[in-house]
Amino acid sequence: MNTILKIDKIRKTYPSFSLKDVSFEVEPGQIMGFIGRNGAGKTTTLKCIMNLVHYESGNISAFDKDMTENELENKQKIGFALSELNYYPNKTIRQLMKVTKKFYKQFDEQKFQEACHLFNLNIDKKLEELSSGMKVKYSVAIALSHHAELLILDEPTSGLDPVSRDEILDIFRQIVKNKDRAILFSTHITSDLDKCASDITYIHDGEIIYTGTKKDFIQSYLFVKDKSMNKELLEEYIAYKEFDDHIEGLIYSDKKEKFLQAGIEPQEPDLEQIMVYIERSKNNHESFNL
Amino acid sequence: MKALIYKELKLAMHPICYVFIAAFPLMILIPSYPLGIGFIYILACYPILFLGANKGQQSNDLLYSTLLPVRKKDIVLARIITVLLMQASFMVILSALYPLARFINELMKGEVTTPGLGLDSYVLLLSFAIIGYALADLIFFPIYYKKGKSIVMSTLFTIIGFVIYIGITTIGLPYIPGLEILNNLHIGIQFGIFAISLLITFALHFAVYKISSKRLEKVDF
Repeated sequence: MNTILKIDKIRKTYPSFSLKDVSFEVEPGQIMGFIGRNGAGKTTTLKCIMNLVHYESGNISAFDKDMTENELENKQKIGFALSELNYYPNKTIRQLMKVTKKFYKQFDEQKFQEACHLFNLNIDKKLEELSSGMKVKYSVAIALSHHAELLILDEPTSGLDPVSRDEILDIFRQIVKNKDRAILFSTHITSDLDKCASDITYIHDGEIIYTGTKKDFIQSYLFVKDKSMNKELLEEYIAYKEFDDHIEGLIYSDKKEKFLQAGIEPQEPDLEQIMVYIERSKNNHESFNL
Repeated sequence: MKALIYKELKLAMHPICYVFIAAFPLMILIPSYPLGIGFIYILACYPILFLGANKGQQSNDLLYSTLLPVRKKDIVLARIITVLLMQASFMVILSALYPLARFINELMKGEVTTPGLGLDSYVLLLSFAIIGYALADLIFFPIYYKKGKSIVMSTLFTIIGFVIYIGITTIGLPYIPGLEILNNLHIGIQFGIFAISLLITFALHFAVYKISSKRLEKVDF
């Protein structure tokens, strides 16, 4: 099995938004960061994978089996958590685990207890008493206990403090260490991806604009900070911002020579810079007066 | 299915539902209480079962269930079975209390009489009640599973429909000239009608299952 998850040309139309031929793949050992702005289609795509949202065309397969036709079998191997774990808030972790384990053929209660211990989760706490970070850890503990080979998490780090975020990302790295499992998680916090993602799928307005390794993604762009304010190079930018004393923006790496010839040294961008300027280029930012 | 029923009883059924099921049949002990009306109270469990009741927070059972490796139609079936168990438990407790209710009524009125206003043939009354519950479910389930979110409209229409139905069948019917006979129907005939009612109930719940599961399949979460 080379591909854990394959999404092929998914289309879903809402009155004010649509997914347009969304395609990407997740392989064992990968931590795939699914990035995009709020409302870009990340959650809808993840819900399509779990058959929570019906798509009009396209195909989703997991573990080389069609997801719609093999939903039950595939769900045994998938751990899924939405951004806000908001079911049965008044039940304790223990109560939920006792019920949840009945649905999974390979549920290992011992492993669940160990995971809770490792994550400092008090299993006698009610879900409503858990912090956001603890809720993510609970979802991960459940997924690990039924031997999920694919974890799909919708914005697991959203709303977490930096320490909790770091803990969660550490857990992600541990999970894929043996290269037999994969994680697909959506986020708009690019620093999370800097820290742990091996691959990136970037969605903009329902359309995938990049899917591949993080390294290739970063290397295809360069960040420019031009203190000479060379206006002749403006058309070379993907998008730029003009400040009083400099121009900064994003360029494709193949434009590097032009900037070097003009005495400007482009730098390797971080993901946030790439995302900000790509979104800026797509949205035709216009200046406005406040 | 066993796991889903376990989930229904352990998670979805709020403890107050068990209290309602055990406590509301006690209404039958009130002398001259219209027995048919007593059947309505079990419907109070519906919003609690479907929505949850915890300091205003919803249980979001439907979301929890759809994330599990189960078929959506089985989620609906498990919920129908849970509701049937609720209704059956309610009626078993009610029936167990019926002799005591008769005794209390006898003490109060000095004569042997069936408790309550309206229909006096108890097994016939149960027959009307189970069909009424099936009709209530035929209203509630399809409306709820159309979107799987709100229980307001489904509860409203269910209660209105059930009150009208139970009022006509268990209170009004014996007062219609020519139908007084229903009050003194032979017990054998009553059980015959009860058996037919069970079949009707089964058929109606099959329709509830088919319509509701088809609707849930189409819901986007």
